[in-house]
Amino acid sequence: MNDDFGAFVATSGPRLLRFAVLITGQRADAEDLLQEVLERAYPRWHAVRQRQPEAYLRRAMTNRLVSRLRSPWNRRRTAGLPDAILQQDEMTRVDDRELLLAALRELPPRMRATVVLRYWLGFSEAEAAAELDCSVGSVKSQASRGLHRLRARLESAGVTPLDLDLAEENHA
Amino acid sequence: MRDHEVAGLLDHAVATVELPPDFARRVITGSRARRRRRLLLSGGTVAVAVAVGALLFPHLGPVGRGDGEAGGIGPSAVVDVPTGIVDPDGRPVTQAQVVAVGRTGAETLVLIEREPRGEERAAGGRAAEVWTAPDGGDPRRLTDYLSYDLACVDGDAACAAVRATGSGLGVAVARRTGGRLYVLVQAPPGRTVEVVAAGVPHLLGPAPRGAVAEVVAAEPYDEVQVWASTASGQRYRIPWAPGAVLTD
Repeated sequence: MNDDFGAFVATSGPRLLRFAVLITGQRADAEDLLQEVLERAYPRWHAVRQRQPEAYLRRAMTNRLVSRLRSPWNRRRTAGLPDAILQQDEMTRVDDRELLLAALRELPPRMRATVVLRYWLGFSEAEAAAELDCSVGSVKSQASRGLHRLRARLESAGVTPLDLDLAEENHA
Repeated sequence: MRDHEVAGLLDHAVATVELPPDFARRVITGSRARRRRRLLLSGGTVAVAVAVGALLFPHLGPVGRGDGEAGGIGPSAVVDVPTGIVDPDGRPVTQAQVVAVGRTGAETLVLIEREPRGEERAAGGRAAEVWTAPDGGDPRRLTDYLSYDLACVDGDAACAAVRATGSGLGVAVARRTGGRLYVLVQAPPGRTVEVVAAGVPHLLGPAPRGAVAEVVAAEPYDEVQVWASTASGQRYRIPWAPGAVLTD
């Protein structure tokens, strides 16, 4: 089982970690989240293996994120963070990837997950609704509002997609 | 912004994200530890362990004491930083970069200062890497980013007052290894620290370079509290950061 599990983590782990980074907006939190769901899946790996494990783990991370964000620690932690993302002069000093993640972190978790499912994974509205266990109408509104807020945040930071060198990067 | 532009932005945001080395092994060992804890809980033996711990611990005392009292391994200030630990730039770590160091069973646990993320720094936060150096083995990094000095426990007015001074709060990590649980705590000079695990207090005294207590608890986040006291008598909780519980 170890070999099979290890092979799965080696091949699907990077994609899952990227997904986790996008839905949490933070690298360290993403590693914790992925490790947590993998630790829970490992004892039942034979069963998990039979049912699209990557999709299963993605869904587990999304559900876990929402419940974790309701925890007292997160409320404490976010209370210590500034309300707005960094201002222009500060932003120019940090990596633009961090800026993008900061903009994502501004979105509520469910809205962030909707944006990631719809636009990064390319899910249809119906697929995203099934993944998030909500209505198609909810996905539509969350995706639209999420995109609007993301755009506003990035524009206020003076960033447009054309500022970023996207050509050399492949979709995961 | 069109759909493909959003996809491109998100791709760009995670383009450099890679899985840490040995991640699968970390998951497997973590999963086994989780299973052991669950078995322990389901058997009801935790209650027994806590009761026994409550009886025994006043006699045993903590493993390491910041003030060097008898009953432990001695002041953690004298614990040497093992060679082979490197900073985020790959250079051998200097004493000035060491936030805390302490003995946790058959290994040395070391917290190395690292640059906090921009927004955390702006909020007064700090960050560290956590390394372990097993006796006779090569050091390895357990986590590459641990936030601290970032927030207080809700309603902890003393913490908020101390934090407002900008002097820092301190940091704590729990390390489960070899079937035992250790807590490494650091607090700025002039303060004393105490670890309370399942109601059992472990007074560590001053810990400007870190001090270690061995404790008994199934779920450190829930059952272990770390306290610091200032010279003026203000007592506040050092909160657990996400990822502060490190398991083999």
